[in-house]
Amino acid sequence: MMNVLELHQVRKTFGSHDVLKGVDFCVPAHSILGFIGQNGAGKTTTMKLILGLLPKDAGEIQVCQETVSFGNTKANRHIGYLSDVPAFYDYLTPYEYLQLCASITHMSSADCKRKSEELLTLTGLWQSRKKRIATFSRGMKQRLGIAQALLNEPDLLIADEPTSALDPIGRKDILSILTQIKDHTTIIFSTHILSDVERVCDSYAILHDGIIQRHGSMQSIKEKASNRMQLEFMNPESMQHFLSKTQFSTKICTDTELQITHDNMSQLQSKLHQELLQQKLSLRRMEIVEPTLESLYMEVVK
Amino acid sequence: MNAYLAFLKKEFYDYLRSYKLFVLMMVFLALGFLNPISARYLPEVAASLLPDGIQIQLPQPEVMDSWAQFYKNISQIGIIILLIVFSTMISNELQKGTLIHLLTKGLSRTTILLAKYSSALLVWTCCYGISFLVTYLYNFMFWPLTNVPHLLLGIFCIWLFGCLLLALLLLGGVLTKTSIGSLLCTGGFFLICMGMSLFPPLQEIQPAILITNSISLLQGQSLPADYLVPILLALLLIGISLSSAVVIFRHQQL
Amino acid sequence: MQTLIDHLPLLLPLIIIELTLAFSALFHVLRHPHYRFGNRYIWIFVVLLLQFFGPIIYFVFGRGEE
Repeated sequence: MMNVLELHQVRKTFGSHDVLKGVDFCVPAHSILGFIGQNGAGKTTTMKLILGLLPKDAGEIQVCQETVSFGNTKANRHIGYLSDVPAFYDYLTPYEYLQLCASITHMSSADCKRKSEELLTLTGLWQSRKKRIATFSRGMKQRLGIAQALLNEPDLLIADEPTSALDPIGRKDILSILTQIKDHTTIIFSTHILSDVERVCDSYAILHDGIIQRHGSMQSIKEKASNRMQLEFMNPESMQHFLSKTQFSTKICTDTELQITHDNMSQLQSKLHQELLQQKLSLRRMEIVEPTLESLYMEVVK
Repeated sequence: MNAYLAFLKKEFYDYLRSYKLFVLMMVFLALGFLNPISARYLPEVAASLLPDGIQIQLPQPEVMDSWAQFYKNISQIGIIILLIVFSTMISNELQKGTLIHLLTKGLSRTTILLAKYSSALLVWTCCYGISFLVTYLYNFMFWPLTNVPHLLLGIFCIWLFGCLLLALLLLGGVLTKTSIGSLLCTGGFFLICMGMSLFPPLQEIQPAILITNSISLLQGQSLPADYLVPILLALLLIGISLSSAVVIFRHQQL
Repeated sequence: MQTLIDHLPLLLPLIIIELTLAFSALFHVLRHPHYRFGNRYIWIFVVLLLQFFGPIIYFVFGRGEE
């Protein structure tokens, strides 16, 4: 599959502060990439580099096989951009704003009308299309931001923390819009809200300390062999009994729950069954703990 | 071209809906009326305020007084209000970040500055023109002899100086990203001109002569040829400020 | 003074402009509760009593976001 976005060894320094120390990643077409990192990890910087709004110190960025350079907005015709708190002209209506954007991207007026109507409907702003943007809530502005980003049917949508400044309903709206459009567009969105990534993304990339520490598909996290087992006992006494006899190293979660870590899952299971049988203990629940994005993230950041 | 026109249209939405155009129109319209009326009636009002019995010889008001008022009012109140209204033209956008999305759509930074400057020029020209027309018509009504020498050249001088100040305002805005910075840049330039006028060899060529001294053109104390150098210098400065604003803006990190 | 009254029609445009400015600013002050600084009563006062300059100052500096 073709890569819509490729970054090779991208570096960026602000003064004496190394923000990016060689970032590498690719985004294949028609996928949603969750770009994860702490506040100040350099997510916004990376995105601005991709957009050519900042000059990079080293490395190469390609959007749809076209090299990006600072101040030159040619590669931007493939990109739709949505910033974390998009600023609009308060005195325009959303429809007028979209018209302005359309003229900049050389759209015909018929296309502009059709596309604006489609996007205002998609983002649920059709009712407010004649109101001034000044009267809009944050969530509405964010949805208008998506509409303007999608206006020229970009191959790549870059959304910088689109959900961070929003209330739960606003967040849900944005995420559902993102899943609706992923058939036509490749999306990369940065966030520090891991549940958002788990909800909509196909793959993830974790930026920490100036480099991409982990990346892969969401599927691969689930497929990654688990090495942990969680047990829940009927009552605290039986758990104490188990703990006093067991040969495994355990981590106690609550007074009836504990976790066991072991390299070989099948061996662990058979030995565990034997132990339980010998001690005549019964369990309420026994399950393999799936690795999550959170555990992965914690491993990297800790 | 399309992008330029669209951005220009957006600028005019701003002027209309943020009351900028309204305020400027009203001010320049009022100044237009004020000039002939104050020239015509001020001597009479002054005379009527004097205590009875004191007689002073008042000069008969003439059309030149009205034009003197026009020059004074436009070059002071008119231009100051023009500059204040336009001082936010670029700083607002840079501070709020409203340009980011448009830039990522491929709008060129040169287009932005050119559209901003030409829209400001258009507004200034219209407001100035209205003021001029009103004064001209009223003069026509009050004084049968309205013909004054070199009127159009004098009018052009003020207009050109206004254009120069707007270009400096834009440069100041790009440099400092604040409206105060814009105004300081323009004010600083004016002070430099005033400083130049203290030295005899520079006195004749500094561009501020276009507004401080152009009434003497109408009164016949100076000749059109005296204004050639300041006019050329003003044109050159407009070119320099605009192109340096463009160059700086293109390399700015937003 | 008599001459002023005689020529009142000529002064009318100025009076009309001043009133237009004052009342449009007044309506704006009353309809929009947010100002960049000051409060409603100060602005009503400024707009009505400071001829010409009051409304201009309001529209340029005092008018808040909608």
